[in-house]
Amino acid sequence: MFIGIGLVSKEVERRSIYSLLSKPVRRYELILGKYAGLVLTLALNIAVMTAALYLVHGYMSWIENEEFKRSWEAPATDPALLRAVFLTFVQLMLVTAVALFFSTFSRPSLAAVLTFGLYVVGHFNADLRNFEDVVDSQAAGIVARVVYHLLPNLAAFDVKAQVVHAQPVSLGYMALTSGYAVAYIGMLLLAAVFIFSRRDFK
Amino acid sequence: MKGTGWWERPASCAIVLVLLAGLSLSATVTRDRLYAQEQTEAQVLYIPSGTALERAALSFDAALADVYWVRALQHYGGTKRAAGERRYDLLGPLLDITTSLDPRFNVAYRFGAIFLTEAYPNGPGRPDLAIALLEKGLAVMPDRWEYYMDIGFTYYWWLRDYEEAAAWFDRAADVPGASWWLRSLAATTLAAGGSHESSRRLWQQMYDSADNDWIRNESARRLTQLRALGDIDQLIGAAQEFHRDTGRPPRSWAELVDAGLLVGIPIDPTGRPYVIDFSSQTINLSPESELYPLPGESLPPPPPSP
Repeated sequence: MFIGIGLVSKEVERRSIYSLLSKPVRRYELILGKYAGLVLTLALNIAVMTAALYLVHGYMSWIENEEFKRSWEAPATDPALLRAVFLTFVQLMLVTAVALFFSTFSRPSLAAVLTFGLYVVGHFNADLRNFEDVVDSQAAGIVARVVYHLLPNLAAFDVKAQVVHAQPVSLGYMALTSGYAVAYIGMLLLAAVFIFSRRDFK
Repeated sequence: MKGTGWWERPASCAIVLVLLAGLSLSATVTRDRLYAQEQTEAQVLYIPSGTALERAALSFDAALADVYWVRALQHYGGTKRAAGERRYDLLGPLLDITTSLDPRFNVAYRFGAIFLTEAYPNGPGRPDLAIALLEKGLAVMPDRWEYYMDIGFTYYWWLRDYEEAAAWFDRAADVPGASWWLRSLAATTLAAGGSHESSRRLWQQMYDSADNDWIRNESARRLTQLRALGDIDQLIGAAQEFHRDTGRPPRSWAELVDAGLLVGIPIDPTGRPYVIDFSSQTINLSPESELYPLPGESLPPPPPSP
């Protein structure tokens, strides 16, 4: 998140953006390239951490006795963990896009606050979905539902609990959640490209 | 290098944005509709200890208590409205956390206790948890006579332990500022606990003293249930009379109508016909009735999650 925040705004602050833009590179290429670079870095990080997680789980499975392991709801090296890992990665892609978006028009400190705020709100967003059940006002319920659809719903990517408790996470759910992320990332990147392309650095 | 791509033109950019927003919206709506259960399963408490959460919340414990209260409401309301098997497993822990974060959260104690006592499938049917929650509130606010009364109420209505109920009503009456009728209620409960008349009086007093619409509506619903119980008593009397006259139990409502014991198919106060089970010779509300289940006639809740 913090690397994403500095992707563009730090280039502007350090004025290195001038030398970058003097190269034969379009502004949208700069934005998309920076995003792709960070996503690849994230992918590498996630891959290393996943490997480490499986190693630790494998070790735990090896040292624990069978009686203790019977209390586990899922095997230690359950391949279903990869579903949670994948959705975590998609979530990080979305958060990076949010950070990059804010980075194109605000200072790093403000971008950090906005991104972190949206990250926190995104995890509580699901509570807004059924808000009309707990308030008498129909208008408040409608506003809550609109906000629910407007803000990124990050809680939907968190399936760790299901996986750990051996609950099924269907491919359909993963496809729809990933599709949602792709569309949302698309919106953020397009908005970032649009703002950055029209920005005057004189 | 100056670009002239479509992404720099506001109109084309707006169109693509709207298209992407539509895609995102349809993915969310489809997922929420198809996979509501998977999202519900995600409602696991990572930190089940209210005390630990209170420490972690720093000075935001009251705000976090509000969040957990909303979660408890959503868990209760969402589960109650869910199709299929309903699991209220998190209701007790969520209320416990809420009241640990804000030990003076009056609404959470009183409403939470009502939710917990409600019989399955409309609630978890856990009067024991409701009593524990109210006792937790009393430990912090011993001057809240309403909590003593609510505990007495739980013993009276759900556990049918009239001696214990009377004792709690008495304790409520001892609290300075308590309602004047609690003392007589304690006496009535001890003398005629379980009779429809004393129950009716109890709910009527609850209805009259309710300080919000929810409790008033709930009391009105209980009073209507008592009317239904009175109806059922009369119907049982008619069936017994038929049995005496003919030497066999009735096989349908029509037989009782033909015998002049009823004027028509009996309906409950919500307009649903009463149901007679000929094998066990019992009369009850229809499961479709808004008043179903009557106290003591709830369905067994599902076993708790491992």
